[in-house]
Amino acid sequence: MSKKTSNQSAAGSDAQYAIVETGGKQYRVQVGDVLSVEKLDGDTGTAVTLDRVLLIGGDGDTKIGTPVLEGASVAATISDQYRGEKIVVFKYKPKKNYRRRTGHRQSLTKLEITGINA
Amino acid sequence: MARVKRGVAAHKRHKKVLAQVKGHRATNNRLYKRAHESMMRSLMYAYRDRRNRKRDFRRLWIVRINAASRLNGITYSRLIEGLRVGNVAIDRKMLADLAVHDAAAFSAVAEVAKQHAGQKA
Repeated sequence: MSKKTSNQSAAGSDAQYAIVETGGKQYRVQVGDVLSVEKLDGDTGTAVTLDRVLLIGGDGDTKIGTPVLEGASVAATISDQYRGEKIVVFKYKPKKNYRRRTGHRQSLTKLEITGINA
Repeated sequence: MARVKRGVAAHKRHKKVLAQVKGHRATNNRLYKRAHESMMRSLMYAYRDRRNRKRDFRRLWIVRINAASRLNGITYSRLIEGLRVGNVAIDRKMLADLAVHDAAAFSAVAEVAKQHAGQKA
Protein backbone atom coordinates (compact mmCIF):
# COMPACT_ATOMS: atom_id res chain seq x y z
CA MET A 1 0.00 0.00 0.00
CA SER A 2 2.79 2.39 0.72
CA LYS A 3 5.17 1.33 -1.99
CA LYS A 4 5.86 4.10 -4.45
CA THR A 5 6.06 3.20 -8.08
CA SER A 6 9.71 3.78 -8.83
CA ASN A 7 9.27 5.87 -11.94
CA GLN A 8 6.77 8.26 -10.39
CA SER A 9 8.14 11.71 -10.96
CA ALA A 10 7.78 14.53 -8.48
CA ALA A 11 4.63 16.52 -9.13
CA GLY A 12 4.03 20.03 -7.97
CA SER A 13 5.62 22.47 -10.33
CA ASP A 14 4.10 22.05 -13.77
CA ALA A 15 3.26 18.53 -14.96
CA GLN A 16 -0.43 17.73 -14.81
CA TYR A 17 -1.46 14.95 -12.48
CA ALA A 18 -4.70 13.36 -11.32
CA ILE A 19 -5.87 11.52 -8.24
CA VAL A 20 -7.90 8.51 -9.34
CA GLU A 21 -9.68 5.81 -7.42
CA THR A 22 -9.66 2.19 -8.49
CA GLY A 23 -9.94 -1.02 -6.53
CA GLY A 24 -10.83 0.92 -3.39
CA LYS A 25 -7.52 2.75 -3.37
CA GLN A 26 -6.47 6.14 -4.60
CA TYR A 27 -3.43 6.90 -6.69
CA ARG A 28 -1.71 10.04 -7.87
CA VAL A 29 -0.86 9.53 -11.52
CA GLN A 30 0.84 11.41 -14.33
CA VAL A 31 1.03 10.54 -18.00
CA GLY A 32 3.70 7.88 -18.48
CA ASP A 33 3.43 6.43 -14.98
CA VAL A 34 3.30 2.66 -14.56
CA LEU A 35 1.45 1.47 -11.50
CA SER A 36 0.03 -1.69 -10.01
CA VAL A 37 -3.63 -1.72 -9.07
CA GLU A 38 -6.16 -4.32 -8.00
CA LYS A 39 -7.12 -6.55 -10.92
CA LEU A 40 -9.16 -4.98 -13.71
CA ASP A 41 -10.72 -7.11 -16.42
CA GLY A 42 -9.16 -7.00 -19.86
CA ASP A 43 -6.32 -8.48 -21.87
CA THR A 44 -2.82 -7.10 -22.02
CA GLY A 45 -2.65 -4.19 -24.43
CA THR A 46 -6.27 -3.10 -24.16
CA ALA A 47 -7.22 0.37 -23.05
CA VAL A 48 -9.11 1.13 -19.86
CA THR A 49 -10.69 4.33 -18.63
CA LEU A 50 -10.62 5.30 -14.99
CA ASP A 51 -13.52 7.68 -14.45
CA ARG A 52 -13.31 8.13 -10.68
CA VAL A 53 -11.12 11.23 -10.87
CA LEU A 54 -11.08 13.00 -7.50
CA LEU A 55 -8.64 15.78 -8.23
CA ILE A 56 -6.66 17.21 -11.10
CA GLY A 57 -3.64 19.32 -10.26
CA GLY A 58 -0.44 20.73 -11.70
CA ASP A 59 -0.37 23.37 -14.43
CA GLY A 60 -0.82 25.92 -11.65
CA ASP A 61 -4.46 24.96 -11.29
CA THR A 62 -6.25 22.56 -8.95
CA LYS A 63 -9.66 21.09 -9.66
CA ILE A 64 -11.35 19.30 -6.78
CA GLY A 65 -14.16 16.82 -7.38
CA THR A 66 -17.23 16.48 -5.18
CA PRO A 67 -16.53 13.66 -4.93
CA VAL A 68 -15.59 13.05 -8.59
CA LEU A 69 -14.92 15.48 -11.40
CA GLU A 70 -17.78 15.36 -13.91
CA GLY A 71 -16.56 14.27 -17.33
CA ALA A 72 -12.94 13.86 -16.30
CA SER A 73 -11.16 10.58 -16.86
CA VAL A 74 -7.77 8.99 -16.95
CA ALA A 75 -6.85 6.80 -19.89
CA ALA A 76 -4.54 3.85 -19.41
CA THR A 77 -3.46 0.67 -21.13
CA ILE A 78 -3.08 -2.67 -19.43
CA SER A 79 0.57 -3.64 -19.68
CA ASP A 80 0.36 -6.77 -17.56
CA GLN A 81 -2.04 -9.04 -15.72
CA TYR A 82 -0.09 -10.75 -13.00
CA ARG A 83 -0.10 -12.01 -9.46
CA GLY A 84 1.84 -10.38 -6.66
CA GLU A 85 4.54 -11.92 -4.51
CA LYS A 86 3.43 -14.91 -2.49
CA ILE A 87 2.36 -14.13 1.04
CA VAL A 88 2.52 -16.95 3.60
CA VAL A 89 -0.50 -16.80 5.86
CA PHE A 90 0.43 -18.69 9.00
CA LYS A 91 -1.78 -18.91 12.06
CA TYR A 92 -0.66 -20.65 15.20
CA LYS A 93 -1.97 -20.95 18.73
CA PRO A 94 0.51 -22.31 21.27
CA LYS A 95 -0.55 -25.33 23.31
CA LYS A 96 -3.85 -25.61 21.42
CA ASN A 97 -2.66 -27.87 18.63
CA TYR A 98 -3.70 -25.28 16.06
CA ARG A 99 -1.69 -24.48 12.95
CA ARG A 100 -2.84 -23.18 9.59
CA ARG A 101 -0.58 -22.42 6.70
CA THR A 102 -1.83 -21.09 3.38
CA GLY A 103 -0.30 -19.12 0.58
CA HIS A 104 -1.82 -16.11 -1.08
CA ARG A 105 -1.05 -14.26 -4.27
CA GLN A 106 -3.06 -11.14 -5.01
CA SER A 107 -4.28 -10.64 -8.57
CA LEU A 108 -2.95 -7.35 -9.87
CA THR A 109 -3.02 -5.32 -13.04
CA LYS A 110 -0.15 -3.21 -14.25
CA LEU A 111 -1.37 -0.01 -15.85
CA GLU A 112 0.45 2.48 -17.99
CA ILE A 113 -1.15 5.92 -17.88
CA THR A 114 -1.61 7.35 -21.36
CA GLY A 115 -3.68 10.45 -20.80
CA ILE A 116 -5.55 12.71 -18.42
CA ASN A 117 -8.75 14.27 -19.75
CA ALA A 118 -9.86 17.19 -17.63
CA MET B 1 8.81 -51.31 -2.62
CA ALA B 2 12.08 -49.56 -2.37
CA ARG B 3 13.29 -48.74 1.09
CA VAL B 4 13.01 -45.05 2.02
CA LYS B 5 15.32 -43.76 4.70
CA ARG B 6 14.01 -40.80 6.67
CA GLY B 7 17.25 -38.88 6.97
CA VAL B 8 17.07 -37.43 3.47
CA ALA B 9 13.63 -35.91 3.93
CA ALA B 10 14.50 -34.67 7.41
CA HIS B 11 17.68 -33.02 6.18
CA LYS B 12 15.76 -31.28 3.41
CA ARG B 13 13.15 -30.05 5.88
CA HIS B 14 15.79 -28.75 8.26
CA LYS B 15 17.61 -26.94 5.49
CA LYS B 16 14.39 -25.24 4.44
CA VAL B 17 13.69 -23.95 7.95
CA LEU B 18 17.27 -22.85 8.61
CA ALA B 19 17.32 -20.90 5.35
CA GLN B 20 14.26 -18.99 6.51
CA VAL B 21 15.72 -17.90 9.86
CA LYS B 22 18.94 -16.33 8.60
CA GLY B 23 19.53 -13.21 10.64
CA HIS B 24 17.62 -14.37 13.70
CA ARG B 25 19.63 -14.05 16.89
CA ALA B 26 21.72 -16.62 18.73
CA THR B 27 20.66 -20.28 18.50
CA ASN B 28 17.51 -19.26 16.65
CA ASN B 29 19.46 -19.44 13.41
CA ARG B 30 21.47 -22.59 14.18
CA LEU B 31 19.58 -25.26 16.12
CA TYR B 32 16.71 -26.78 14.20
CA LYS B 33 14.25 -26.89 17.08
CA ARG B 34 14.87 -23.28 18.11
CA ALA B 35 14.93 -22.23 14.48
CA HIS B 36 11.56 -23.82 13.85
CA GLU B 37 10.00 -22.05 16.83
CA SER B 38 11.53 -18.82 15.68
CA MET B 39 10.21 -19.29 12.16
CA MET B 40 6.65 -19.90 13.37
CA ARG B 41 6.81 -16.85 15.56
CA SER B 42 8.15 -14.67 12.75
CA LEU B 43 5.35 -15.78 10.42
CA MET B 44 2.82 -14.91 13.10
CA TYR B 45 4.36 -11.48 13.50
CA ALA B 46 4.28 -11.05 9.73
CA TYR B 47 0.56 -11.85 9.65
CA ARG B 48 -0.18 -9.46 12.51
CA ASP B 49 2.01 -6.68 11.21
CA ARG B 50 0.51 -6.73 7.72
CA ARG B 51 -2.62 -5.55 9.52
CA ASN B 52 -0.81 -3.20 11.87
CA ARG B 53 0.98 -1.61 8.93
CA LYS B 54 -2.33 -0.16 7.71
CA ARG B 55 -2.85 1.55 11.08
CA ASP B 56 0.75 2.71 11.30
CA PHE B 57 0.60 4.43 7.95
CA ARG B 58 -2.78 5.98 8.66
CA ARG B 59 -1.32 7.51 11.83
CA LEU B 60 1.67 8.83 9.94
CA TRP B 61 -0.55 10.39 7.26
CA ILE B 62 -2.71 12.03 9.92
CA VAL B 63 0.35 13.61 11.53
CA ARG B 64 1.44 14.97 8.15
CA ILE B 65 -2.01 16.23 7.22
CA ASN B 66 -2.40 17.91 10.60
CA ALA B 67 0.94 19.71 10.22
CA ALA B 68 0.07 20.86 6.71
CA SER B 69 -3.47 21.93 7.57
CA ARG B 70 -2.28 24.03 10.51
CA LEU B 71 -0.02 25.88 8.08
CA ASN B 72 -3.26 26.68 6.23
CA GLY B 73 -5.00 27.86 9.40
CA ILE B 74 -7.31 24.91 10.01
CA THR B 75 -6.98 21.92 12.31
CA TYR B 76 -6.95 18.31 11.12
CA SER B 77 -10.26 17.62 12.78
CA ARG B 78 -11.99 20.60 11.11
CA LEU B 79 -10.39 19.76 7.77
CA ILE B 80 -11.78 16.23 7.80
CA GLU B 81 -15.17 17.51 8.93
CA GLY B 82 -15.19 20.09 6.13
CA LEU B 83 -14.22 17.55 3.48
CA ARG B 84 -16.94 15.17 4.63
CA VAL B 85 -19.62 17.87 4.54
CA GLY B 86 -18.23 19.23 1.27
CA ASN B 87 -18.39 15.76 -0.25
CA VAL B 88 -14.69 15.52 -1.10
CA ALA B 89 -13.56 11.89 -1.04
CA ILE B 90 -9.78 12.23 -1.23
CA ASP B 91 -8.35 9.79 1.31
CA ARG B 92 -5.72 10.40 3.94
CA LYS B 93 -2.98 8.74 1.96
CA MET B 94 -3.52 11.15 -0.92
CA LEU B 95 -3.99 14.21 1.31
CA ALA B 96 -0.65 13.50 2.96
CA ASP B 97 0.88 12.96 -0.46
CA LEU B 98 -0.45 16.33 -1.63
CA ALA B 99 0.84 18.01 1.52
CA VAL B 100 4.33 16.77 0.73
CA HIS B 101 4.41 17.09 -3.07
CA ASP B 102 2.00 19.87 -3.96
CA ALA B 103 1.44 22.36 -1.15
CA ALA B 104 -0.61 24.63 -3.43
CA ALA B 105 -3.12 21.88 -4.17
CA PHE B 106 -3.32 21.05 -0.49
CA SER B 107 -4.14 24.70 0.25
CA ALA B 108 -6.93 24.55 -2.33
CA VAL B 109 -8.35 21.47 -0.62
CA ALA B 110 -8.05 23.20 2.77
CA GLU B 111 -10.00 26.18 1.39
CA VAL B 112 -12.84 23.86 0.35
CA ALA B 113 -12.82 22.36 3.83
CA LYS B 114 -12.93 25.81 5.46
CA GLN B 115 -16.05 26.72 3.49
CA HIS B 116 -17.90 23.68 4.78
CA ALA B 117 -16.50 23.21 8.30
CA GLY B 118 -18.78 24.28 11.09
CA GLN B 119 -22.01 23.74 9.15
CA LYS B 120 -24.35 20.96 10.11
CA ALA B 121 -23.93 17.86 7.96
